[in-house]
Amino acid sequence: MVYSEILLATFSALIYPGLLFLVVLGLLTQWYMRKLVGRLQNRIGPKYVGPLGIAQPFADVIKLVFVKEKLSSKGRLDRLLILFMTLGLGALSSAMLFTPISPYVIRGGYDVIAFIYLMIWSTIAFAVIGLSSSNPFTIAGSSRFLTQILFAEPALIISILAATIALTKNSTTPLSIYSSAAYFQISALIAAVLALSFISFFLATIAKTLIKPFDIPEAETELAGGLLAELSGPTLGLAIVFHYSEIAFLALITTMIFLGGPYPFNYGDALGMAVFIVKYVLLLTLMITVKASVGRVRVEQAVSMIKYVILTSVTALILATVF
Amino acid sequence: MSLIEIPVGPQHPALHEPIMLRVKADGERVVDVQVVTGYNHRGAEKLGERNTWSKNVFLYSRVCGICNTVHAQTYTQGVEAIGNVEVPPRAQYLRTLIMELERIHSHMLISAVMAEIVGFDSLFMLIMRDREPVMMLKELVTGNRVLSDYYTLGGVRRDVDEVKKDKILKVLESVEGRMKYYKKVFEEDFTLSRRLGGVGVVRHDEAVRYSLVGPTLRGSGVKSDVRADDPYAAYGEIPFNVITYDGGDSLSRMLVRFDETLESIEMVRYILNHLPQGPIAPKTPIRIIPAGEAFSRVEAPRGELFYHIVSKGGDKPYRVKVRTPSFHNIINGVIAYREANIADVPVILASVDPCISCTERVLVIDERSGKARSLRLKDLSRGLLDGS
Repeated sequence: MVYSEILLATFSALIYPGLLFLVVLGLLTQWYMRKLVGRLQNRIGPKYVGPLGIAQPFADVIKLVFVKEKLSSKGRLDRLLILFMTLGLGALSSAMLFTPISPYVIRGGYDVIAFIYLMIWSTIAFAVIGLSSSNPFTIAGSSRFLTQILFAEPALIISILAATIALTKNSTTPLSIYSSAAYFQISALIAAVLALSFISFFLATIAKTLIKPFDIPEAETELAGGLLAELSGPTLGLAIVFHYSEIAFLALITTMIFLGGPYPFNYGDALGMAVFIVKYVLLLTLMITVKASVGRVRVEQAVSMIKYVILTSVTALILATVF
Repeated sequence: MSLIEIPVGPQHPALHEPIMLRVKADGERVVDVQVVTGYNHRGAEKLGERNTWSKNVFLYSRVCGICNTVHAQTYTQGVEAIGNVEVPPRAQYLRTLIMELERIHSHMLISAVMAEIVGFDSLFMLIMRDREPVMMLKELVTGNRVLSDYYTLGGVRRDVDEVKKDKILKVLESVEGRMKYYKKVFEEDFTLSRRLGGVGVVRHDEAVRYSLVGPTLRGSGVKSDVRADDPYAAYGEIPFNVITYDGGDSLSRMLVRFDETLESIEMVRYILNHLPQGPIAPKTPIRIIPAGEAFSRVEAPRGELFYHIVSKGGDKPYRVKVRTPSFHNIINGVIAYREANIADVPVILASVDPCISCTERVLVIDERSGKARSLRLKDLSRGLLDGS
């Protein structure tokens, strides 16, 4: 009994919906982003590896990790970098166990706090990428990242809190990720809270995952890659896997909590699954359309924009707690 | 807080040619920008002294890839002035035609590059897509997309017939629509207007004092254009407006280019509809030029281009001195970086439309003694210029 539970937990953490699932979904998400951005820009996008180039991101990562040589430069803390990226990936994988799509579910009242704690690890890992090198581009990039994330992360946390508070008002396990997602229902109040918190969560996700107009820390044409400038070969491969896993993770969470996952159907239904996938792809499409139709803003402009995002999420939180 | 030095160049994703901007920044604010050139010197001026007059037409076309016909124009019109060569009117019109087509695609290129620099990759891709038909027109007229080699001393090498004329007019119609749309995007888009407006301001008086030229000058509200001030080729007979904007910022400089592109399209239409009949080149090639000296200037897409040509008679020039517009705009344009943000540095650099390869000169000045010295080819090939 206990063994089978341990086995199930390990399976959930490492394979589905944990590490392997996140990595594969992340790379598929990358393919979709590349393909769609390509089409929006009058290009073909990935084409050669696999049907419609779907395996191109996998081929890229495999090449970076296994074929490219490992280069290191003076003053770069490679081990620290790898340690933190692994920790970040691990934290995201464990956070997936809080969701209803996991066979082994961690659930309880106020588990959103633990969930947020795990989510923050991915940000810390990204900040460490910037701080582990003495390259001026990386330093400038990481100072931009820290400025930006200082505003984006609170918006992310407040909006997820607002949504879970509203969704678990009458539940026996308040503020639980599982309860908010699995027993998704809609009322006037929930709809208002979710609409506001979805907007702020979506914009904060874009800022956190460095998607235009908030790719300021990376800013290829200003800082030559900024945060990621010093990475090459296996470390770059790991960073790409980590980055896209984070995007996939945040998009999954948005789909489950803010868009109701398989709602109006249930988890486990074939129809529910189809609805879930459609919602996920639509969300990605929205993200990509934003990415392809704007330029990059300056860091202080970004901060003044994200200010309003925080304001929106705080409004959602007040709505959720007061009424 | 200590200053960090960020090297923009010599190899950098924002730059398409090698130049180095040493940017000293306090956090995100730029404190000082130092321009370091010397990565791309090719010795074209010296080489010109060994070549014959007619061979040099090809050499000086290659000083700059994008604006190759204006270089050929400046060189040939200087040589023609020394040799008193009469250029047939049809050839003058055709030269003007090709220079205006070049201005259209050059301005489209820098608009695309500017979009790329502010991270608007989609706009970059779309402008580059719409620029391609203009390159095709250049190929239609001259036989080549980029380096046209259209000029010969005393005329041009190919004629335009009715079929080509219709094709050009048809393509330009669609290009005009697209350029009007892109101008609107630059004016109204929420990221572009934020990133370009008020960035890299050069006031009217400064633009004159620091000898800025071309759209960079006109973007500061100074009405100066060689095509109007000192007409050459067929510009004296073609109606056009000199575009100026008063903002002095990067956005004004870009808008000057958009309006000039639209103006150029009108000029091309006028040229094609008023093309005089007659020969396009002298019957016998010109080989010998008498002794003499000429200053020649034209309005390149980037500003006033200037050649000083000295002949001592015979089949080779004695000296050809080239002064390109970017030489002024890049080096004196440093004033635009005051109070800028690190993110603004590539934007300001791109807003002057830098052309590095035609800017390179070699003169090493020892800062302590103030003495100038020249370098041998051997030293240059070892890369001793940088930091010496």
